Amino acid sequence: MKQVISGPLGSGKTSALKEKYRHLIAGGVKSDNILVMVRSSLDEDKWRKTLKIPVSGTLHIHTYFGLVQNQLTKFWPLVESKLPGTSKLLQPVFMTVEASHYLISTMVEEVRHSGGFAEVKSTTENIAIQLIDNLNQAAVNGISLPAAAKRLHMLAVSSGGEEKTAAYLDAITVMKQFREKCLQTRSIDYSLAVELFNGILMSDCRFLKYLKEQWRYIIVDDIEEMVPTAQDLILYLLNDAAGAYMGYDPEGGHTVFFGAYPEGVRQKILPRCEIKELKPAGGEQTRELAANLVRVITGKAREMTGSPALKGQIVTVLRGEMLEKVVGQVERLIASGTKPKEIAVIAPVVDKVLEFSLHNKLAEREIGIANLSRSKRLLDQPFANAMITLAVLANPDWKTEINFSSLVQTLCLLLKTDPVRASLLAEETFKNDLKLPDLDELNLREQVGYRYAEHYQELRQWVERRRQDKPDLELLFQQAFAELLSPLLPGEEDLLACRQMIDSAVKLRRVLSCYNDAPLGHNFIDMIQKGTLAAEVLYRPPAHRNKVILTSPLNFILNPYIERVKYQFWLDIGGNQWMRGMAKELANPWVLSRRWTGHQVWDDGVDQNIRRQKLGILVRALLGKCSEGIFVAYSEINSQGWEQNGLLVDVFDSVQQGREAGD
Amino acid sequence: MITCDVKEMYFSQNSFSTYDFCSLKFRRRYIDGLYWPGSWVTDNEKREMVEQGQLFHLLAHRYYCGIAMGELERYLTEPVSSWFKELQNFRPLTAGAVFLPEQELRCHQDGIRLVAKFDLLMVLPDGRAVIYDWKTALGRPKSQYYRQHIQTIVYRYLLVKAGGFLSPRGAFSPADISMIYWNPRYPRLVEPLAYSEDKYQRDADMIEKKIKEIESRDYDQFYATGDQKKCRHCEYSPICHGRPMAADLSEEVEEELDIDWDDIDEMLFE
Repeated sequence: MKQVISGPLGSGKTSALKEKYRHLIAGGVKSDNILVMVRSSLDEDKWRKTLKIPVSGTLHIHTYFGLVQNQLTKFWPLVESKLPGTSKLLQPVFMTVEASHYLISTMVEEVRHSGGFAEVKSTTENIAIQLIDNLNQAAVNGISLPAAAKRLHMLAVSSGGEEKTAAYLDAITVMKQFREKCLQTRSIDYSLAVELFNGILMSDCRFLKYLKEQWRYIIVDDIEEMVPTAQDLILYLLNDAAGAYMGYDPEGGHTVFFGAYPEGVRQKILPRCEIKELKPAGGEQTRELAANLVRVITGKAREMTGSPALKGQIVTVLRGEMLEKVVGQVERLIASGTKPKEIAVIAPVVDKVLEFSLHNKLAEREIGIANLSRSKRLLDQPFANAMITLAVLANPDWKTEINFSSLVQTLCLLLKTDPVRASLLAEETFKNDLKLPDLDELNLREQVGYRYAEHYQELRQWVERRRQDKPDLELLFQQAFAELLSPLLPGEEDLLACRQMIDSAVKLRRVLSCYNDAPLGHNFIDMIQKGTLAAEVLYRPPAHRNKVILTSPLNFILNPYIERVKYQFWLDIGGNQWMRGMAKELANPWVLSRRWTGHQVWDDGVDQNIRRQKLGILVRALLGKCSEGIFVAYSEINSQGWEQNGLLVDVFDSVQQGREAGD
Repeated sequence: MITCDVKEMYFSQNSFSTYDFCSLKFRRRYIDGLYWPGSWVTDNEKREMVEQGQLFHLLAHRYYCGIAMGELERYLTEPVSSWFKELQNFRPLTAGAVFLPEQELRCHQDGIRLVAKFDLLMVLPDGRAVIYDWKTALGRPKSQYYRQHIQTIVYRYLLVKAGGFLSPRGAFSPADISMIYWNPRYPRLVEPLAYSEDKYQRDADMIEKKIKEIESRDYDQFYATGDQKKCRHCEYSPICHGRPMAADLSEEVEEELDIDWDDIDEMLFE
């Protein structure tokens, strides 16, 4: 049977798919013959934890990219035999995103030095991200690099002048240069992995035979979020599959920016399957509100009447006041019996200020909040910052700079002292070319305080020893962690940050070892300082913690561990980040997708239309995970002092007018 | 990172031996999710050994999947090249048997949650099965040591308990099963460890009790070992004692402490 289980977010598709899996196993099918494809590694984790099958063999539950990596590693001899060059490897080296970002950034920088990207406003690091996006989009759409280059060139010519065309040509040069280097060194980034899988393995009859024999059954969750090449694989397996079950959300398509292609599902997969419709779960009023909002957002209606699911609008002049009122409302909900975990605060950008303010204001009322967004830079974590700072202090020959506040923060942490004393020590260190000075030579012992001075001298000796011994970065990190940081009784997040720091250094070392001339040390520090590395989120399912959830809209929708809540607070609805576009200065996923026909022109009208469609999908999905209703909040002036006038403000204004008219 | 509820987790031979080694180490690794990957070995010699061991396992996996090395065979260097030749001599991929490399087995019934990944499972047409485990450590394999090892206990038990679907007869009896630890550094040392109904019952009791014992502990009841020697060589030494893990493992200590870089159960952290 080939069946698509169709229903909106929260209608029970994933549960139904898991039940199908259990049914197959109970019917004698081996788990080794069932392939499950899911959207993210979090989904994969949850699938593994919740399947609970009495006995089984290997669980083949993968994201598309995880599957690609596994198969490339296993069948690498087939791939290698078709690759050019003589530097053969016994197994591929897969690059982390950070490593590709770092390497492509260095290439962009070189082009900039020779006058390239002259009129491009984005920073080198941002350009690198955009070029990686282009490479990835082309790969997951099955578009070769030369064809992608042609499309981007056409886009530049049609939408800009000579400067834009020149910038795109520079971008194409770097993309090609990066690809060549990856092929030469057999260090495989995401885009090359997808290309090798589709270009070599998917055209090798031995591999295709293996695929068909191995996976007689396929189960796909969130098929509308799958990239086109993943859909190609699914279509191929569908031909001979003894059974296929796929979960499909007709209102989905949240990850179009990352290559999702719901149109492909509608065109090629749905017609080949029996469709089983699931009804949306509960929340009639929230669904009605969603439908009305989408109509206004997409321009199909000009205004809407009030809804019982719209619980309140908080409008203030300043952002601080807005947060104060949000916290007050959260407190009232909790006082009237709502559990903290049944409330989600959703903001398009969860910045440090927002997190800090909400955390403090709620803590005063003894309410906990868990930040589940993934926007934190690793460098913002104090233990990670201390490791970087110590590495720079111990390696003067890198000539790497650190900023004053990083050093102050590190000294505060390590010496357990206050910012005033730490600033004094930091100032003297800067005067001394980042060499920790001798307190007695400067007569500072008294000012610093005798207790702290002793700790300081120990730290100074520790750094001095590293300056002499010059341990490699991985060892230095481990020593810093073992000898200086762990005695401070780090919390879980601190431990995680240290682990991530060491792990990233290890992974980057592996990739750079393919590039003989690139030392790890200061390159890694560079990468962290430029914010390439985001901190992993220490995630405990909030159900166990009973805290208010703070996160971004997309994470709230897609994170399988975040359950439906009773109330949502949509913050900063005046900000344009709620309506993010797809195109960037040098990247355009739309043009590098299968939906682009070649005759279409990319202009502001198309861009705005896409933004509205995306916002409509987002709003509908958010309300799909909400049972009682929403509060919307915005300040006329944001935290940077800019006036806020995003589309959502107009939309909710129209609700108010409608309500007034109705009254 | 996702922290784990001990009442939901699948236990493995590694998690059991970690628990026996130090229950605090078990908590840090399997409940807190503070997994320190094997690739963090800073000692170059040790790092090279880990990488050689991993490559050998990958080559064995490909070989038993029937994926030919092709021209890549020329790029194999010592000692892995010799190891791979020894493997093909020792256990060639022959007709008549079913070879299941990297075969995983999972069990979630009767209060038992267990998982294991066999380097190779060979199933013969008459219903007998041999579990192979590749070792590449320097130490000479000692059958007496492996006979009582938790890996032997978990692997053989799990194959009987949960592997029936892999048998041509629909079930394995303990007498059908043997296990072989094989190290290409000592290719002639082969001592199959046979299984019996008695041992199966004993293993079942032991595993059940161990799971219950672990589950009954509160989070803060996972105490640190009192054996300082163990702490010295533990990767969590920095967290518990503020001291880095000592790298100078003698062969004897390595065996005693049960540190085997081939057996890092990364599958639990995938």
